[in-house]
Amino acid sequence: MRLSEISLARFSPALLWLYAGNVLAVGTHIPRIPVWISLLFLLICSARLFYSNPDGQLRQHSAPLMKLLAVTLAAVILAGVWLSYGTLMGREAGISLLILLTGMKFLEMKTPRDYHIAGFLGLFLILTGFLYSQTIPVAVYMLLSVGVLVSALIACNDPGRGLATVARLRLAGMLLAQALPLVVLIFLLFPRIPGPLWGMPRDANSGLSGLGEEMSPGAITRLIESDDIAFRVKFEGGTPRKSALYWRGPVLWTTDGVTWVRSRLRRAAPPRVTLDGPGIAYTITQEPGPSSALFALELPEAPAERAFFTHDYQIRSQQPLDQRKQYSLISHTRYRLESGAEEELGLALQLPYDYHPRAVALGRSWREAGLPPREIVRSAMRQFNEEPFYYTLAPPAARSDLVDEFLFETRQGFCEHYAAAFVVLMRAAGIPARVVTGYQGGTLNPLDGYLVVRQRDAHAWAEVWLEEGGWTRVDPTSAVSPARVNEGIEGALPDSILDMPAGFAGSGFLGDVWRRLRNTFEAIDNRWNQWVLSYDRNRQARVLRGLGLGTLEWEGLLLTLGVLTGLILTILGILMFRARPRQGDRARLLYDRFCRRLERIGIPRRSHEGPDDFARRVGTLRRDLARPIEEITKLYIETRYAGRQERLVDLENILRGFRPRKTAA
Amino acid sequence: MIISTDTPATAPRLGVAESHALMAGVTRAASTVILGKESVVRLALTCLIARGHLLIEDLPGVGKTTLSHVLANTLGLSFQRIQFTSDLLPADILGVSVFSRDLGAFDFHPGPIFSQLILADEVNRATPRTQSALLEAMEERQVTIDGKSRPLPNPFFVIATQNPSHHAGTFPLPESQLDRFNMCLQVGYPDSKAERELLRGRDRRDLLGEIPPVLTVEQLTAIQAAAERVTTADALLDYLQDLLEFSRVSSDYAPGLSPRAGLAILRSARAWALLQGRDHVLPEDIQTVLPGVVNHRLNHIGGGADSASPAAALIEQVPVP
Repeated sequence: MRLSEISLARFSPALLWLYAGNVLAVGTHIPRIPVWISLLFLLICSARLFYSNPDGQLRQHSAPLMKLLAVTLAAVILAGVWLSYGTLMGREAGISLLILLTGMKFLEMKTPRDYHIAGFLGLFLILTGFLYSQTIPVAVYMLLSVGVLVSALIACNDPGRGLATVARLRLAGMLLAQALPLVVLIFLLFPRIPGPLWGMPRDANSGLSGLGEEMSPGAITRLIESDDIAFRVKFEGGTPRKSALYWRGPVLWTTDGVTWVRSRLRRAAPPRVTLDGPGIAYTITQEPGPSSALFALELPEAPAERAFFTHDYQIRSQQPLDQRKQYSLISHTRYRLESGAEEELGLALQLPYDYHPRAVALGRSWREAGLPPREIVRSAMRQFNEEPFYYTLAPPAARSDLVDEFLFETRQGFCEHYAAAFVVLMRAAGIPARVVTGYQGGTLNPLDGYLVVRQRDAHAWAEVWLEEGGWTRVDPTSAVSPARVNEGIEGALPDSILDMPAGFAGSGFLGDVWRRLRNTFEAIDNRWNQWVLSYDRNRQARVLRGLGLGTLEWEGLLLTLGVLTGLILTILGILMFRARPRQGDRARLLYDRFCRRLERIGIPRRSHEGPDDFARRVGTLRRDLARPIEEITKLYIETRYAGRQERLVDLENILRGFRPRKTAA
Repeated sequence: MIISTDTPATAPRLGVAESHALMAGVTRAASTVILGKESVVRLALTCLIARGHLLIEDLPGVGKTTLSHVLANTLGLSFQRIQFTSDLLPADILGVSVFSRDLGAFDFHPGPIFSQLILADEVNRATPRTQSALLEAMEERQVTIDGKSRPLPNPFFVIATQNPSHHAGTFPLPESQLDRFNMCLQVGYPDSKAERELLRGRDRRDLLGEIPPVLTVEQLTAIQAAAERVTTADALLDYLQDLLEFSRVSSDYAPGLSPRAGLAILRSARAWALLQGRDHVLPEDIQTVLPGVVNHRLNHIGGGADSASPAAALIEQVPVP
């Protein structure tokens, strides 16, 4: 395809379109890159806009000066990127470099080819945005930017140079629409490598919020303020009732009086477990988080794929969870969980030396009273329930001893306070106990049936070892605030702390609208996650089985892809040819051949030149060719414009002998 | 009652060669009076063969009136000139009904419009009301007065002139009415050779009287019918459609060419091809008639002051398929 001339004059449409496209392409990166890079990019591109002369090139100063300027600019860019990132490699630095060099290309554009390259660089820049975020708004934005850049690139094949904005956008839309079948086909069939499509090593400093591996005062409270989604659950059967939804995560054993951490018994064997009752099958799609803990309803039968059980029966992923992860589990609500390691029970009785004297004294008094363990648990729970304890997000700050102050003075706390204090009491009373963190509850999105568990559903509770029942869950928070467990966090806390726009809180009409909007958006977002972003090998295999192509390996897939691509292109081609039947006009094809031969000897036909005019012009330029050309033109006109198809043969014959030479014989 | 404009049954059926020969005679005769303006004469004849009305836009004194007079004479048509002024009334053009004592009834006195060729001089000086009376008659080829429709003669041509430079006290024709003129031509100054001949020669008005009619009305009608039989191949219609399409999608023109303009281009190109002695239309024919047909219909906003006419820009940007 020959590129047509493009006017790159100051503020010419082609220039403005490309400018807009490239600025949009950089748009997604602006919040991530240093400000000076965005500004320099805009400066370089705008310079091209303002500083080009009517014939479309940068205003000419002396050539060496311009060259010097370009080299200096390039050096400044390299040095600047190096100073900002300490490297020229890697994702951030690489993209910054690409952005600035795209600006340079825009600046130095002279020919249609340069224009083409600058446009394609812009397309590549748009693509790099996907390395950071793959949400729907980003995808829509990218699609729009691609539309603008395609509209700009249309200039390369627009001989008239005069397309109006609407016509140009419509044409770009049509081009993209024609590409759609191919996009779908390649998306479905292109062989997937294991792992997510947009896998990129995450940069070390990228912080992820979510439930961590430790529990210190305020850790969960901070999560409560977050509306982010922790994971989504799709139950195969019905959804269990809310109070049963304990999503078990990291189990914490040891405390220094303030912070609780996991046990060090990493190598120990997984515990024996007896499961009973019907299984609940479900699939969890977990968002990236800071730990590698996977969450499961109590208690799962087997760990998920590429994950393992620890001795305290938590599931941990073998890889860090810096990508969205999907796993299927089957859980049972009736179970008996044994100890996994012999040291476990000893570990579950340890208390930090010289901490919480009053709590320990209370616990000891229960043991010395000779109560059976079950009674001790009950009396502790009664304590929380009957004494004036409050469930609050903003407990007063502890001055010295966290547990003692909470239990005996302030009596205001959040689930982590209750869980920690309860475990301390139990251990003091001689009952092995441990803290379990995770999530409790979740919101069912009625639109797609997914249960959405947010960071705000983070919770902490306790497990105690009882001779007759193994490790048994005890949630001290439920004794203080039953609503937290029965209705979820929204029911237990005032609306003001939940992340809702003013006036939308509560159960009024606006609150209802807000919830419905959020449900809709999240349902769409989830579809996107499930079907587009998590379209990995497994899902592809499932789709292929559905299509009856289940046995194909990657070679077969590529072959199928090739054949189907060919098919689609053929169909599109046929549609295009049918829409323009004159393409198949034989006389025209012959005449085109004739014109190409004349072009080769240096006499090209101007695109708007009629056959008669062209013949006359060639006749004056090359008198020796005047006769044959006149004859050919006459035959061509007769067949094409006077409707005498029978002369086509003559035209073909005479054209066969027409081989013009460059110079007159 | 509507008079059919079809070829009368009595008219001879003319072929391309005969039509060409006859029209060559007309051109030759006209050129003895209108010096050095052969292309304008030919385009004006093309316009009339295409059954279209003609607007001539030029300065006073370049021969607009003479041109129309010559055309009337050589084509053998009855001729009336109407000088448009600001106080001209529709009745002055169309005619009036007067009560006749002899007949005891209203008697219609036809206005000057009841001629085969009308020269509407300085059409933009009359009020819009009077202009509309003329333009309606042009479109419908009949006049309705006192509820009675009276057909205009056949053939019926209007040649209107307009002075482009002096707009004071004028009512420029709106675009919708400009569209009714098949072509708009400029006469322009004669070249030096023609000018010298003009200065040396006799008074043009005397010469006018000496030009014999070259055609009969029947022949003219037959030639018009022959023009309609000129072949237009699909390839040519493709080109015409490309031109129309481009004028519509391009940002240079607002608005683009109407379907009526497309028909006018095609009719004129046929007539021009016939004048060249061809039985088929070439892209070149369209390119030749295009400036006359579209320049007054198109508003060229893309080009600056230095750019060519709208039609020239259009031709340049649309490839011949």
